[in-house]
Amino acid sequence: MIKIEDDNYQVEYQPADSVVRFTGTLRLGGLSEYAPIADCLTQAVTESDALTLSLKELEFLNSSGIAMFSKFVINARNKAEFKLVVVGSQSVPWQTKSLNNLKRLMPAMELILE
Amino acid sequence: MNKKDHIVGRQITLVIVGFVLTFSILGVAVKVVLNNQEENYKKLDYLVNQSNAKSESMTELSDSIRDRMLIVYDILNSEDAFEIDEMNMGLSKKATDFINAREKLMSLDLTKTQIDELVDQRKILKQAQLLLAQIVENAIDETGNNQIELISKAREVNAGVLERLNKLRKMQSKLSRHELLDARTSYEETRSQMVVLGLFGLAFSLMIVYFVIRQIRNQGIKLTVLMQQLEEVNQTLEQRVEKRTKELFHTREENMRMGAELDVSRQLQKVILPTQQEISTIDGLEIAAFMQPADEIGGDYYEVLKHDSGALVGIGDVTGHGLESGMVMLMIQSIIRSQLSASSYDLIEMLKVANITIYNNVDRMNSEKNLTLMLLDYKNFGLSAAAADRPSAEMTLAGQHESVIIIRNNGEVEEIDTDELGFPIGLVSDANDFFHSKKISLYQGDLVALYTDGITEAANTAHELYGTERLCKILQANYLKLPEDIKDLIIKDVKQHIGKQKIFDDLTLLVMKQL
Repeated sequence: MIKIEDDNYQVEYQPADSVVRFTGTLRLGGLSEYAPIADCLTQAVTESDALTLSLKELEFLNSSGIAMFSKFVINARNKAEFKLVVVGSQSVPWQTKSLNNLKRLMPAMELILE
Repeated sequence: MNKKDHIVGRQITLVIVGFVLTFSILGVAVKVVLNNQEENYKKLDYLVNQSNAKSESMTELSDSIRDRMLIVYDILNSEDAFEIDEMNMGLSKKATDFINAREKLMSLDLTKTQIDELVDQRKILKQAQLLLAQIVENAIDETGNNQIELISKAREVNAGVLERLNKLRKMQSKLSRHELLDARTSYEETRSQMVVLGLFGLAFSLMIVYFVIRQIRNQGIKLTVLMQQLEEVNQTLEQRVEKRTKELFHTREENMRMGAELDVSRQLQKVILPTQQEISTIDGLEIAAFMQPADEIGGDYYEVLKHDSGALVGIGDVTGHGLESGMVMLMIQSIIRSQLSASSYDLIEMLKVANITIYNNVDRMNSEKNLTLMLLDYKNFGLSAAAADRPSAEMTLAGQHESVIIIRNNGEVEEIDTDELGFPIGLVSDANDFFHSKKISLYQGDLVALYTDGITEAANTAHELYGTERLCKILQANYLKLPEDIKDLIIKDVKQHIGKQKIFDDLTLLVMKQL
């Protein structure tokens, strides 16, 4: 299990379940600060043919974070036969529009807005 | 350093006092011992003298008795009258010697037993004296037949005297031995005293030395600890001062930088906005615009560009805030305007160019800025087309932004979602497939409202958002009024909602009415 966290957020990758769980608020400064999380996601993509991103408890994500996820999705769509599931929440304001944009980048991605 | 000197001074004083005390004690001890020894010597000297004198006197006494006896024998054996007379004188002299010796003995320091003994001897001596005198007298007179008997008796008496003298001598000898023993004991006692005192003095001085050394060491340790603490405090203080100075410097620098950046950003945002004059000269469309930057500069953007057949209206919101957001806003304004000046323009093309340009520029800036951007191309059909049942204008929408709210001239509300019309500008390099356009006809009296999320997501102290619903209601309730008044009412309502809460985001609102 890989865990990246600070006082405000927690990113937890469970290789056994192929799930990366995000909680809290992510306001890191720039893609360089998002690099450890991006690396973790890349690792998760290489290790399995299916991955679930659980974002239900991610209450805030800044523009750098959205940029990071966009780049991740663009890379993920290049991997053949890869199944990506993103689970979000309709009650979290930033998610509806941004997660829909992610799906538009990768139509094969399954978006579940609970 | 003064304190250290003070401590060293105190230690030196302590050492000196300690040694003075030790030497005083040792001095007193030596003095006492010497006194004792002197006394002992005196006593011993006296004893020896006394003993010698007594012994001498006693020898004299014995000798004189013995001599007298011998003289008596000589007298008895002599027939020469002169000789006898002479010997008789010698006898008297010996008697005088005896008396002198006895007196001398009596004058010495005698014990009571000795005195008693001597006094007791007197009677016997008297008897012996008388006997000897009788013998001598008889011898001179040549009378008496009992001479031998008398001599025998005198000898016996004298032997008794001698024996008693011997006894006295023995007694004296014993006494002397005893006194000598006493003197030795006294000497040994003194020696023990001296040893004890010496040891005591030594122990005391060792104690003082130990105490002083301990004091010095303790003070040394204390001093070292104090010095260390002082050094630590100094270091911490230095570090803190340095840190604080750096912080202050940094903060001041940062404040100055931020202040300058804020000014520049504000200027950028303000100077590039369309003028009131530009806004008010669009044929067929009455526009009221409002923009209020937040305390922290956001990146709201709106544009009204007049062209031959109408106007190009744009609204957008750059992510984040600060100088970079301002720069991106400036870029987008230039990109749009430059394309508008071309002979023919297309909203989709404009957005595509905007996307790749911003993407590349932002990449060069090592930034992740992107923006929502919706373009609205307004085409007025002119007065000839003006009629209530026919559209008098058409607007083409393209790009992803907040929903467009239309209040139709009959009061109906239309909310046009723009999510499918575009994609965040500058987020990905290839977004060409995501840009679409939508045409909407406008009728006389129709009201169109464009806004940024600063309006709909304006939060009150309870963190409740203003919301699209509330915006629609106030628009619907006032759609017949002038755009300027409607704009003012909405801003008033939004600010009322915000209340005392801080304004987090720029507030941008455009209210347009088809004439």
